Amino acid sequence: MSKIVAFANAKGGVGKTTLALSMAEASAYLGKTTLLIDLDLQINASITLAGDCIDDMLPWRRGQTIEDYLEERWHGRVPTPLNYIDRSQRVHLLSGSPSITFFERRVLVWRDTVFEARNCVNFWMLDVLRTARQHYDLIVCDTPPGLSLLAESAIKSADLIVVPQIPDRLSTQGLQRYAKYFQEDLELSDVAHRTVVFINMFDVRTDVAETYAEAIRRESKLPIFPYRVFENQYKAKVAFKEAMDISRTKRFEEVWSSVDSDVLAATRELWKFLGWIEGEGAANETGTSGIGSGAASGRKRKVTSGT
Amino acid sequence: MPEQDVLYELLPAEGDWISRDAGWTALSERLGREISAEDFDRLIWLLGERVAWNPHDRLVCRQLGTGVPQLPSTIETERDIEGWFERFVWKRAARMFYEPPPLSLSIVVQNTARVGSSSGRWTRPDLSMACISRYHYAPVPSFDLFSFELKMAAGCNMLAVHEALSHTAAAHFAYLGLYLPKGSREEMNLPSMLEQAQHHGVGVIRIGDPRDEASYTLLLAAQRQSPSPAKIDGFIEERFDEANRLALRKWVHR
Repeated sequence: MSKIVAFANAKGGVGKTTLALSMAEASAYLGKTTLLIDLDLQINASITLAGDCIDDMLPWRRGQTIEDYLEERWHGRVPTPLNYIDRSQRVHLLSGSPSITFFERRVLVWRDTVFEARNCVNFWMLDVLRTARQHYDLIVCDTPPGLSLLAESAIKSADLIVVPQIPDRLSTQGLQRYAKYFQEDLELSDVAHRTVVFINMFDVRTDVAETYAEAIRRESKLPIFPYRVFENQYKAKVAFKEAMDISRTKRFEEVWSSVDSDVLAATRELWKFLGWIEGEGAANETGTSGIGSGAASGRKRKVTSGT
Repeated sequence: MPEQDVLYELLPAEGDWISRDAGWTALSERLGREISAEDFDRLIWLLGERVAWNPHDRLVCRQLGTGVPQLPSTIETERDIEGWFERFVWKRAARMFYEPPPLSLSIVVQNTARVGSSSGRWTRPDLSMACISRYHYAPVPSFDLFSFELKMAAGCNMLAVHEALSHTAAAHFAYLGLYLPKGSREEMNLPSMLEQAQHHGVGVIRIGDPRDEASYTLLLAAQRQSPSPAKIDGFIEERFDEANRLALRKWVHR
Protein backbone atom coordinates (compact mmCIF):
# COMPACT_ATOMS: atom_id res chain seq x y z
CA MET A 1 0.00 0.00 0.00
CA SER A 2 1.29 3.42 -0.96
CA LYS A 3 2.62 5.62 1.84
CA ILE A 4 3.43 9.30 2.17
CA VAL A 5 6.29 10.32 4.45
CA ALA A 6 6.95 14.00 5.19
CA PHE A 7 10.37 15.00 6.52
CA ALA A 8 9.75 18.13 8.53
CA ASN A 9 11.20 20.34 11.21
CA ALA A 10 10.79 24.05 11.76
CA LYS A 11 14.50 24.21 12.47
CA GLY A 12 16.88 24.44 9.52
CA GLY A 13 20.10 22.48 9.12
CA VAL A 14 18.94 19.38 10.97
CA GLY A 15 19.39 17.12 7.93
CA LYS A 16 15.87 16.89 6.53
CA THR A 17 17.02 16.70 2.94
CA THR A 18 19.87 14.27 3.60
CA LEU A 19 17.58 11.99 5.57
CA ALA A 20 14.73 12.23 3.04
CA LEU A 21 17.04 11.52 0.14
CA SER A 22 18.90 8.69 1.85
CA MET A 23 15.70 6.90 2.83
CA ALA A 24 14.11 7.52 -0.58
CA GLU A 25 17.14 6.12 -2.38
CA ALA A 26 17.43 3.16 -0.04
CA SER A 27 13.74 2.37 -0.50
CA ALA A 28 14.13 2.51 -4.29
CA TYR A 29 17.24 0.33 -3.99
CA LEU A 30 15.26 -2.17 -1.93
CA GLY A 31 12.60 -2.36 -4.62
CA LYS A 32 9.96 0.26 -3.85
CA THR A 33 8.90 2.66 -6.59
CA THR A 34 9.69 5.97 -4.98
CA LEU A 35 8.84 9.59 -5.71
CA LEU A 36 10.50 12.52 -3.98
CA ILE A 37 8.51 15.75 -3.89
CA ASP A 38 10.73 18.69 -3.13
CA LEU A 39 8.77 21.45 -1.39
CA ASP A 40 11.81 23.39 -0.21
CA LEU A 41 12.67 26.61 -2.04
CA GLN A 42 16.35 25.74 -1.55
CA ILE A 43 15.70 22.79 -3.91
CA ASN A 44 18.68 20.91 -2.50
CA ALA A 45 17.07 17.52 -3.03
CA SER A 46 16.23 18.44 -6.62
CA ILE A 47 19.77 19.63 -7.29
CA THR A 48 21.20 16.45 -5.82
CA LEU A 49 18.94 14.19 -7.89
CA ALA A 50 19.09 16.24 -11.10
CA GLY A 51 22.87 16.10 -10.94
CA ASP A 52 25.47 18.22 -12.67
CA CYS A 53 23.53 18.67 -15.86
CA ILE A 54 23.84 21.86 -17.83
CA ASP A 55 21.39 24.60 -16.95
CA ASP A 56 18.81 24.06 -19.67
CA MET A 57 18.20 20.52 -18.52
CA LEU A 58 17.30 21.36 -14.96
CA PRO A 59 13.62 20.79 -14.19
CA TRP A 60 13.16 24.28 -12.75
CA ARG A 61 14.43 25.78 -16.01
CA ARG A 62 12.17 23.75 -18.25
CA GLY A 63 8.94 24.39 -16.38
CA GLN A 64 8.62 21.02 -14.71
CA THR A 65 8.32 21.74 -11.02
CA ILE A 66 5.68 21.60 -8.32
CA GLU A 67 5.26 25.34 -8.80
CA ASP A 68 4.58 24.92 -12.53
CA TYR A 69 1.89 22.38 -11.70
CA LEU A 70 0.34 24.66 -9.08
CA GLU A 71 0.53 27.60 -11.48
CA GLU A 72 -1.66 25.62 -13.92
CA ARG A 73 -4.14 24.94 -11.12
CA TRP A 74 -4.09 28.62 -10.22
CA HIS A 75 -5.23 29.36 -13.77
CA GLY A 76 -8.03 26.83 -13.46
CA ARG A 77 -6.45 24.11 -15.59
CA VAL A 78 -6.13 20.53 -14.35
CA PRO A 79 -3.09 18.79 -15.87
CA THR A 80 -1.96 15.41 -14.61
CA PRO A 81 0.76 15.82 -11.98
CA LEU A 82 2.52 12.84 -13.57
CA ASN A 83 3.63 15.08 -16.44
CA TYR A 84 5.75 17.10 -14.03
CA ILE A 85 7.82 14.18 -12.78
CA ASP A 86 11.37 13.51 -13.90
CA ARG A 87 12.00 9.78 -14.18
CA SER A 88 15.65 9.58 -15.07
CA GLN A 89 16.88 8.50 -11.63
CA ARG A 90 16.11 5.56 -9.38
CA VAL A 91 14.09 7.97 -7.27
CA HIS A 92 11.64 9.89 -9.43
CA LEU A 93 11.54 13.60 -8.78
CA LEU A 94 8.81 16.20 -8.63
CA SER A 95 11.20 19.09 -8.48
CA GLY A 96 11.00 22.04 -6.17
CA SER A 97 11.17 25.61 -7.35
CA PRO A 98 13.29 28.46 -5.98
CA SER A 99 10.31 30.81 -6.37
CA ILE A 100 7.69 28.65 -4.66
CA THR A 101 7.44 31.12 -1.77
CA PHE A 102 6.26 33.85 -4.13
CA PHE A 103 3.53 31.53 -5.38
CA GLU A 104 2.40 30.82 -1.82
CA ARG A 105 2.40 34.53 -1.09
CA ARG A 106 0.14 35.11 -4.10
CA VAL A 107 -2.34 32.51 -2.87
CA LEU A 108 -2.38 34.10 0.58
CA VAL A 109 -3.14 37.52 -0.88
CA TRP A 110 -5.72 36.09 -3.27
CA ARG A 111 -7.87 34.53 -0.54
CA ASP A 112 -9.87 36.03 2.35
CA THR A 113 -8.43 33.99 5.17
CA VAL A 114 -5.30 32.02 5.87
CA PHE A 115 -7.44 28.88 6.15
CA GLU A 116 -8.94 29.51 2.73
CA ALA A 117 -5.44 29.85 1.27
CA ARG A 118 -4.46 26.65 3.10
CA ASN A 119 -7.49 24.90 1.61
CA CYS A 120 -6.59 25.98 -1.93
CA VAL A 121 -3.05 24.70 -1.71
CA ASN A 122 -4.16 21.62 0.21
CA PHE A 123 -6.69 20.51 -2.41
CA TRP A 124 -4.23 21.02 -5.24
CA MET A 125 -1.62 19.08 -3.30
CA LEU A 126 -4.17 16.36 -2.53
CA ASP A 127 -4.58 15.83 -6.27
CA VAL A 128 -0.82 15.47 -6.61
CA LEU A 129 -0.63 13.03 -3.72
CA ARG A 130 -3.67 10.97 -4.75
CA THR A 131 -2.24 10.52 -8.23
CA ALA A 132 1.17 9.74 -6.81
CA ARG A 133 -0.34 7.15 -4.48
CA GLN A 134 -1.63 5.32 -7.54
CA HIS A 135 1.80 5.06 -9.10
CA TYR A 136 4.32 4.92 -6.29
CA ASP A 137 4.88 2.73 -3.26
CA LEU A 138 6.57 5.52 -1.35
CA ILE A 139 6.13 9.28 -1.67
CA VAL A 140 8.73 11.28 0.21
CA CYS A 141 8.07 14.97 0.80
CA ASP A 142 11.07 17.11 1.68
CA THR A 143 9.71 20.21 3.36
CA PRO A 144 11.39 23.57 3.99
CA PRO A 145 12.39 24.75 7.45
CA GLY A 146 9.85 27.03 9.05
CA LEU A 147 6.24 26.91 8.00
CA SER A 148 4.81 26.99 4.51
CA LEU A 149 1.41 26.23 3.01
CA LEU A 150 2.83 23.38 0.95
CA ALA A 151 4.68 21.88 3.90
CA GLU A 152 1.52 22.02 5.99
CA SER A 153 -0.40 20.25 3.28
CA ALA A 154 2.20 17.51 2.95
CA ILE A 155 2.31 17.08 6.72
CA LYS A 156 -1.47 16.90 6.89
CA SER A 157 -1.63 14.14 4.27
CA ALA A 158 1.40 12.19 5.46
CA ASP A 159 1.04 8.72 6.90
CA LEU A 160 4.24 9.39 8.80
CA ILE A 161 5.97 12.64 9.75
CA VAL A 162 9.68 12.12 10.29
CA VAL A 163 11.24 14.89 12.35
CA PRO A 164 15.05 14.89 12.08
CA GLN A 165 16.52 16.19 15.26
CA ILE A 166 20.05 17.13 16.32
CA PRO A 167 20.59 16.11 19.93
CA ASP A 168 21.47 19.50 21.40
CA ARG A 169 19.83 21.97 23.73
CA LEU A 170 18.11 24.29 21.26
CA SER A 171 16.80 21.54 19.02
CA THR A 172 15.37 19.62 21.94
CA GLN A 173 13.47 22.67 23.15
CA GLY A 174 12.09 23.32 19.66
CA LEU A 175 10.77 19.79 19.36
CA GLN A 176 8.00 20.19 21.91
CA ARG A 177 6.93 23.44 20.25
CA TYR A 178 6.81 21.68 16.89
CA ALA A 179 4.68 18.86 18.25
CA LYS A 180 2.38 21.47 19.73
CA TYR A 181 2.10 23.15 16.32
CA PHE A 182 1.08 19.83 14.73
CA GLN A 183 -1.58 19.29 17.31
CA GLU A 184 -2.94 22.77 17.93
CA ASP A 185 -2.39 24.76 14.76
CA LEU A 186 -2.60 22.09 12.08
CA GLU A 187 -5.12 20.20 14.25
CA LEU A 188 -3.66 16.89 13.08
CA SER A 189 -5.27 13.79 14.40
CA ASP A 190 -3.23 10.94 15.81
CA VAL A 191 -0.08 13.06 16.16
CA ALA A 192 1.55 10.64 18.59
CA HIS A 193 1.31 7.77 16.15
CA ARG A 194 2.23 9.71 13.02
CA THR A 195 5.20 11.65 14.38
CA VAL A 196 8.56 9.90 14.56
CA VAL A 197 11.74 11.66 15.59
CA PHE A 198 15.03 10.68 13.98
CA ILE A 199 18.15 11.59 15.91
CA ASN A 200 20.57 12.96 13.35
CA MET A 201 24.15 14.24 13.31
CA PHE A 202 24.94 12.46 16.56
CA ASP A 203 28.30 13.84 17.68
CA VAL A 204 30.26 11.24 19.65
CA ARG A 205 33.01 13.65 20.62
CA THR A 206 31.05 15.07 23.54
CA ASP A 207 28.56 13.80 26.10
CA VAL A 208 26.07 16.42 24.97
CA ALA A 209 24.69 14.31 22.14
CA GLU A 210 24.05 11.28 24.36
CA THR A 211 22.49 13.47 27.05
CA TYR A 212 20.08 15.17 24.70
CA ALA A 213 19.36 12.01 22.69
CA GLU A 214 18.17 10.47 25.93
CA ALA A 215 16.19 13.61 26.69
CA ILE A 216 14.46 13.32 23.33
CA ARG A 217 13.59 9.71 24.05
CA ARG A 218 12.41 10.58 27.55
CA GLU A 219 10.19 13.43 26.34
CA SER A 220 8.63 11.16 23.75
CA LYS A 221 6.76 9.60 26.65
CA LEU A 222 5.29 12.87 27.91
CA PRO A 223 1.53 12.64 27.69
CA ILE A 224 0.93 16.15 26.28
CA PHE A 225 2.80 15.87 23.00
CA PRO A 226 3.97 12.29 22.63
CA TYR A 227 5.87 11.02 19.61
CA ARG A 228 7.90 7.98 18.63
CA VAL A 229 11.65 7.77 18.13
CA PHE A 230 13.78 5.81 15.66
CA GLU A 231 16.13 3.32 17.21
CA ASN A 232 18.64 4.00 14.43
CA GLN A 233 20.60 7.25 14.37
CA TYR A 234 22.92 8.92 11.89
CA LYS A 235 26.21 10.09 13.27
CA ALA A 236 27.77 13.38 12.15
CA LYS A 237 29.92 11.99 9.37
CA VAL A 238 31.59 13.31 6.23
CA ALA A 239 30.16 10.49 4.10
CA PHE A 240 26.68 11.97 4.44
CA LYS A 241 27.85 15.29 3.05
CA GLU A 242 29.77 13.57 0.27
CA ALA A 243 26.69 11.61 -0.74
CA MET A 244 24.91 14.85 -1.54
CA ASP A 245 27.63 15.65 -4.06
CA ILE A 246 27.78 12.40 -6.01
CA SER A 247 26.16 11.70 -9.38
CA ARG A 248 23.03 9.58 -9.09
CA THR A 249 24.07 7.51 -12.08
CA LYS A 250 26.36 5.69 -9.63
CA ARG A 251 25.19 2.69 -7.68
CA PHE A 252 23.50 3.11 -4.30
CA GLU A 253 26.51 1.68 -2.42
CA GLU A 254 28.86 4.09 -4.18
CA VAL A 255 26.71 7.13 -3.45
CA TRP A 256 26.32 6.35 0.24
CA SER A 257 29.76 4.68 0.51
CA SER A 258 30.75 3.93 4.11
CA VAL A 259 27.30 4.73 5.52
CA ASP A 260 25.21 2.61 3.15
CA SER A 261 24.51 -0.04 5.77
CA ASP A 262 23.39 2.64 8.24
CA VAL A 263 21.07 4.12 5.62
CA LEU A 264 19.61 0.71 4.85
CA ALA A 265 19.12 -0.09 8.54
CA ALA A 266 17.36 3.23 9.16
CA THR A 267 15.22 2.70 6.07
CA ARG A 268 14.18 -0.75 7.21
CA GLU A 269 13.11 0.82 10.48
CA LEU A 270 11.13 3.39 8.49
CA TRP A 271 9.43 0.48 6.73
CA LYS A 272 8.52 -0.96 10.12
CA PHE A 273 6.87 2.29 11.09
CA LEU A 274 5.01 2.20 7.77
CA GLY A 275 3.85 -1.34 8.48
CA TRP A 276 5.62 -2.79 5.45
CA ILE A 277 7.66 -5.21 7.49
CA GLU A 278 6.84 -6.83 10.75
CA GLY A 279 7.23 -5.08 14.09
CA GLU A 280 7.12 -1.44 14.92
CA GLY A 281 10.04 0.91 15.39
CA ALA A 282 12.05 -0.71 18.15
CA ALA A 283 12.17 2.54 20.11
CA ASN A 284 8.48 2.18 20.87
CA GLU A 285 9.11 -0.85 22.95
CA THR A 286 11.55 0.92 25.24
CA GLY A 287 10.58 2.54 28.45
CA THR A 288 13.37 5.04 28.93
CA SER A 289 12.74 7.01 32.05
CA GLY A 290 15.71 9.27 32.48
CA ILE A 291 19.00 10.42 31.03
CA GLY A 292 21.28 7.46 30.53
CA SER A 293 18.61 4.89 31.20
CA GLY A 294 19.07 3.38 27.73
CA ALA A 295 22.66 2.53 28.55
CA ALA A 296 21.66 1.41 32.01
CA SER A 297 19.25 -1.11 30.55
CA GLY A 298 22.11 -2.57 28.53
CA ARG A 299 20.47 -1.66 25.23
CA LYS A 300 22.92 -0.33 22.68
CA ARG A 301 21.76 2.37 20.29
CA LYS A 302 22.49 1.82 16.65
CA VAL A 303 24.91 4.64 15.95
CA THR A 304 27.24 4.68 12.95
CA SER A 305 30.84 4.18 13.92
CA GLY A 306 34.04 5.93 12.92
CA THR A 307 34.49 9.04 10.79
CA MET B 1 -20.98 16.09 17.14
CA PRO B 2 -17.84 18.04 16.05
CA GLU B 3 -18.64 21.13 14.02
CA GLN B 4 -16.85 19.84 10.93
CA ASP B 5 -19.12 16.79 10.95
CA VAL B 6 -22.16 19.06 11.21
CA LEU B 7 -20.91 20.90 8.13
CA TYR B 8 -20.30 17.61 6.31
CA GLU B 9 -23.88 16.54 7.07
CA LEU B 10 -25.15 19.80 5.58
CA LEU B 11 -23.42 19.26 2.24
CA PRO B 12 -25.60 17.65 -0.45
CA ALA B 13 -25.24 13.89 -0.33
CA GLU B 14 -24.94 13.53 -4.09
CA GLY B 15 -21.68 15.41 -4.19
CA ASP B 16 -23.23 18.49 -5.83
CA TRP B 17 -21.25 21.67 -5.41
CA ILE B 18 -22.63 24.41 -3.21
CA SER B 19 -21.20 27.87 -2.73
CA ARG B 20 -19.07 28.72 0.26
CA ASP B 21 -21.57 31.45 1.23
CA ALA B 22 -24.50 29.03 1.15
CA GLY B 23 -22.61 26.51 3.26
CA TRP B 24 -21.55 29.21 5.66
CA THR B 25 -25.13 30.51 6.10
CA ALA B 26 -26.59 27.03 6.50
CA LEU B 27 -24.00 26.11 9.10
CA SER B 28 -24.63 29.31 11.07
CA GLU B 29 -28.35 28.52 11.13
CA ARG B 30 -27.78 24.92 12.14
CA LEU B 31 -25.43 25.87 14.98
CA GLY B 32 -27.59 28.81 16.05
CA ARG B 33 -24.71 31.26 16.04
CA GLU B 34 -22.80 33.39 13.60
CA ILE B 35 -19.84 31.58 12.01
CA SER B 36 -16.93 33.70 10.80
CA ALA B 37 -15.31 33.15 7.40
CA GLU B 38 -12.18 31.95 9.14
CA ASP B 39 -14.12 29.43 11.22
CA PHE B 40 -15.85 28.11 8.12
CA ASP B 41 -12.57 27.75 6.20
CA ARG B 42 -11.03 26.07 9.23
CA LEU B 43 -13.77 23.45 9.24
CA ILE B 44 -13.16 22.78 5.54
CA TRP B 45 -9.46 22.33 6.39
CA LEU B 46 -10.38 19.85 9.13
CA LEU B 47 -12.58 17.88 6.75
CA GLY B 48 -9.52 17.43 4.53
CA GLU B 49 -10.01 14.68 1.97
CA ARG B 50 -13.69 14.26 2.81
CA VAL B 51 -14.54 17.35 0.76
CA ALA B 52 -13.46 18.90 -2.52
CA TRP B 53 -12.89 22.60 -2.87
CA ASN B 54 -13.02 24.76 -5.98
CA PRO B 55 -11.03 27.88 -5.12
CA HIS B 56 -11.94 29.84 -8.24
CA ASP B 57 -15.71 29.72 -7.74
CA ARG B 58 -15.50 29.15 -3.99
CA LEU B 59 -17.57 26.01 -4.19
CA VAL B 60 -17.47 23.03 -1.88
CA CYS B 61 -18.80 19.48 -2.19
CA ARG B 62 -18.47 16.10 -0.58
CA GLN B 63 -15.62 14.08 -1.97
CA LEU B 64 -17.06 10.83 -3.20
CA GLY B 65 -14.75 7.89 -2.65
CA THR B 66 -11.08 8.61 -2.93
CA GLY B 67 -11.45 10.80 -6.00
CA VAL B 68 -9.26 8.32 -7.88
CA PRO B 69 -10.75 6.01 -10.50
CA GLN B 70 -10.40 2.39 -9.44
CA LEU B 71 -8.87 -0.07 -11.86
CA PRO B 72 -10.91 -3.15 -12.74
CA SER B 73 -10.25 -6.12 -10.50
CA THR B 74 -11.34 -8.68 -13.09
CA ILE B 75 -9.78 -8.88 -16.54
CA GLU B 76 -12.25 -9.83 -19.23
CA THR B 77 -11.62 -7.47 -22.11
CA GLU B 78 -8.72 -5.51 -23.59
CA ARG B 79 -10.20 -2.42 -21.99
CA ASP B 80 -9.69 -3.94 -18.53
CA ILE B 81 -5.96 -4.19 -19.22
CA GLU B 82 -5.51 -0.59 -20.38
CA GLY B 83 -5.53 1.07 -16.95
CA TRP B 84 -3.17 -1.50 -15.45
CA PHE B 85 -0.80 -1.33 -18.40
CA GLU B 86 -0.85 2.46 -18.28
CA ARG B 87 0.14 2.34 -14.64
CA PHE B 88 2.94 -0.09 -15.45
CA VAL B 89 4.21 2.24 -18.19
CA TRP B 90 4.20 5.24 -15.83
CA LYS B 91 6.05 3.34 -13.15
CA ARG B 92 8.47 1.12 -15.00
CA ALA B 93 8.90 2.24 -18.58
CA ALA B 94 11.73 4.65 -17.85
CA ARG B 95 13.88 1.87 -16.44
CA MET B 96 12.76 -0.61 -19.05
CA PHE B 97 13.45 1.51 -22.12
CA TYR B 98 16.22 3.87 -21.01
CA GLU B 99 19.31 2.13 -19.75
CA PRO B 100 21.68 3.71 -18.89
CA PRO B 101 19.41 6.53 -17.78
CA PRO B 102 19.56 9.93 -19.48
CA LEU B 103 20.27 13.14 -17.55
CA SER B 104 16.59 13.89 -17.43
CA LEU B 105 13.54 12.08 -18.64
CA SER B 106 10.05 13.51 -18.90
CA ILE B 107 7.19 11.45 -20.20
CA VAL B 108 3.53 11.78 -21.03
CA VAL B 109 1.34 8.72 -21.38
CA GLN B 110 -1.86 8.91 -23.39
CA ASN B 111 -4.61 6.37 -23.73
CA THR B 112 -5.09 6.55 -27.49
CA ALA B 113 -7.58 3.69 -27.73
CA ARG B 114 -10.55 5.99 -27.71
CA VAL B 115 -9.22 9.42 -28.61
CA GLY B 116 -9.58 10.95 -32.07
CA SER B 117 -11.03 9.45 -35.24
CA SER B 118 -12.18 5.84 -34.95
CA SER B 119 -12.14 5.13 -38.67
CA GLY B 120 -9.66 2.57 -39.96
CA ARG B 121 -8.87 -0.72 -38.30
CA TRP B 122 -5.22 -0.22 -37.40
CA THR B 123 -5.05 3.53 -37.09
CA ARG B 124 -4.40 3.86 -33.39
CA PRO B 125 -2.49 2.03 -30.69
CA ASP B 126 -4.15 1.41 -27.34
CA LEU B 127 -1.57 3.43 -25.48
CA SER B 128 1.14 5.88 -26.50
CA MET B 129 4.04 7.33 -24.58
CA ALA B 130 6.04 10.39 -25.62
CA CYS B 131 9.42 10.86 -23.95
CA ILE B 132 11.76 13.82 -23.89
CA SER B 133 15.23 12.88 -22.70
CA ARG B 134 18.35 14.97 -22.33
CA TYR B 135 21.98 13.94 -22.49
CA HIS B 136 25.32 15.55 -21.75
CA TYR B 137 26.58 15.70 -25.30
CA ALA B 138 23.38 15.94 -27.31
CA PRO B 139 22.77 19.57 -28.29
CA VAL B 140 18.98 19.17 -28.35
CA PRO B 141 16.54 17.06 -26.36
CA SER B 142 15.79 13.63 -27.76
CA PHE B 143 12.16 12.82 -28.59
CA ASP B 144 10.79 9.26 -28.68
CA LEU B 145 7.24 8.18 -29.34
CA PHE B 146 6.27 4.68 -28.18
CA SER B 147 3.11 2.86 -29.22
CA PHE B 148 1.58 -0.06 -27.34
CA GLU B 149 -0.93 -2.47 -28.83
CA LEU B 150 -2.61 -4.63 -26.19
CA LYS B 151 -4.01 -8.05 -26.93
CA MET B 152 -5.92 -10.60 -24.90
CA ALA B 153 -4.80 -14.22 -25.18
CA ALA B 154 -7.37 -14.87 -27.91
CA GLY B 155 -5.74 -12.16 -30.03
CA CYS B 156 -2.22 -13.56 -29.79
CA ASN B 157 -1.51 -14.29 -33.42
CA MET B 158 0.49 -12.98 -36.36
CA LEU B 159 -2.12 -10.34 -37.10
CA ALA B 160 -1.32 -8.68 -33.75
CA VAL B 161 2.34 -8.31 -34.76
CA HIS B 162 1.36 -6.64 -38.00
CA GLU B 163 -1.08 -4.38 -36.24
CA ALA B 164 1.69 -3.22 -33.90
CA LEU B 165 3.99 -2.84 -36.89
CA SER B 166 1.50 -0.53 -38.59
CA HIS B 167 1.94 1.95 -35.74
CA THR B 168 5.57 2.53 -36.72
CA ALA B 169 4.17 4.88 -39.36
CA ALA B 170 4.01 7.43 -36.54
CA ALA B 171 5.93 5.89 -33.61
CA HIS B 172 9.64 5.41 -33.11
CA PHE B 173 9.12 2.26 -31.06
CA ALA B 174 6.17 -0.10 -31.48
CA TYR B 175 5.34 -2.59 -28.76
CA LEU B 176 2.88 -5.40 -28.50
CA GLY B 177 1.54 -6.13 -25.00
CA LEU B 178 0.29 -9.71 -24.79
CA TYR B 179 -1.92 -10.80 -21.93
CA LEU B 180 -0.85 -14.39 -22.02
CA PRO B 181 -1.24 -16.23 -18.70
CA LYS B 182 0.97 -19.24 -18.20
CA GLY B 183 -0.55 -22.34 -19.72
CA SER B 184 -2.70 -20.45 -22.26
CA ARG B 185 -3.55 -22.39 -25.39
CA GLU B 186 -2.20 -19.48 -27.46
CA GLU B 187 1.30 -19.91 -26.02
CA MET B 188 2.00 -22.17 -29.00
CA ASN B 189 1.73 -19.09 -31.27
CA LEU B 190 4.43 -17.25 -29.36
CA PRO B 191 7.61 -18.53 -31.06
CA SER B 192 6.41 -17.64 -34.56
CA MET B 193 5.08 -14.28 -33.35
CA LEU B 194 8.44 -13.46 -31.77
CA GLU B 195 10.22 -14.41 -34.96
CA GLN B 196 8.02 -12.07 -37.00
CA ALA B 197 8.27 -9.32 -34.38
CA GLN B 198 12.06 -9.54 -34.40
CA HIS B 199 12.10 -9.43 -38.18
CA HIS B 200 10.07 -6.20 -38.17
CA GLY B 201 11.62 -4.61 -35.10
CA VAL B 202 8.43 -4.77 -33.05
CA GLY B 203 8.91 -5.13 -29.30
CA VAL B 204 6.96 -7.65 -27.24
CA ILE B 205 5.95 -7.45 -23.59
CA ARG B 206 4.26 -10.47 -22.06
CA ILE B 207 1.76 -9.87 -19.28
CA GLY B 208 1.08 -12.81 -16.97
CA ASP B 209 -1.41 -10.89 -14.85
CA PRO B 210 -2.09 -7.21 -15.62
CA ARG B 211 -2.57 -6.48 -11.91
CA ASP B 212 0.86 -7.85 -10.97
CA GLU B 213 3.79 -5.75 -12.17
CA ALA B 214 6.21 -8.59 -11.54
CA SER B 215 4.45 -10.60 -14.25
CA TYR B 216 5.32 -8.09 -17.02
CA THR B 217 8.25 -9.47 -19.03
CA LEU B 218 10.07 -7.76 -21.85
CA LEU B 219 10.49 -10.58 -24.36
CA LEU B 220 11.81 -8.47 -27.20
CA ALA B 221 13.03 -4.87 -27.33
CA ALA B 222 11.69 -2.78 -30.22
CA GLN B 223 14.04 -1.40 -32.86
CA ARG B 224 13.97 2.35 -33.37
CA GLN B 225 12.12 3.37 -36.54
CA SER B 226 12.24 6.68 -38.39
CA PRO B 227 8.71 7.93 -38.94
CA SER B 228 8.36 11.31 -40.63
CA PRO B 229 8.13 14.25 -38.18
CA ALA B 230 4.95 15.34 -39.96
CA LYS B 231 3.34 11.97 -39.20
CA ILE B 232 4.37 12.25 -35.57
CA ASP B 233 2.95 15.77 -35.34
CA GLY B 234 -0.29 14.65 -36.92
CA PHE B 235 -0.57 11.68 -34.59
CA ILE B 236 0.01 13.74 -31.46
CA GLU B 237 -2.33 16.50 -32.57
CA GLU B 238 -5.10 14.03 -33.21
CA ARG B 239 -4.62 11.52 -30.44
CA PHE B 240 -3.19 13.37 -27.43
CA ASP B 241 -5.33 15.55 -25.20
CA GLU B 242 -4.61 19.23 -24.80
CA ALA B 243 -2.81 19.06 -21.44
CA ASN B 244 -0.40 16.45 -22.77
CA ARG B 245 0.22 18.37 -25.99
CA LEU B 246 0.95 21.54 -24.03
CA ALA B 247 3.37 19.72 -21.74
CA LEU B 248 5.25 18.29 -24.71
CA ARG B 249 5.45 21.63 -26.48
CA LYS B 250 6.74 23.28 -23.35
CA TRP B 251 9.50 20.73 -22.88
CA VAL B 252 10.55 20.74 -26.52
CA HIS B 253 10.41 24.47 -27.22
CA ARG B 254 11.34 26.07 -23.93
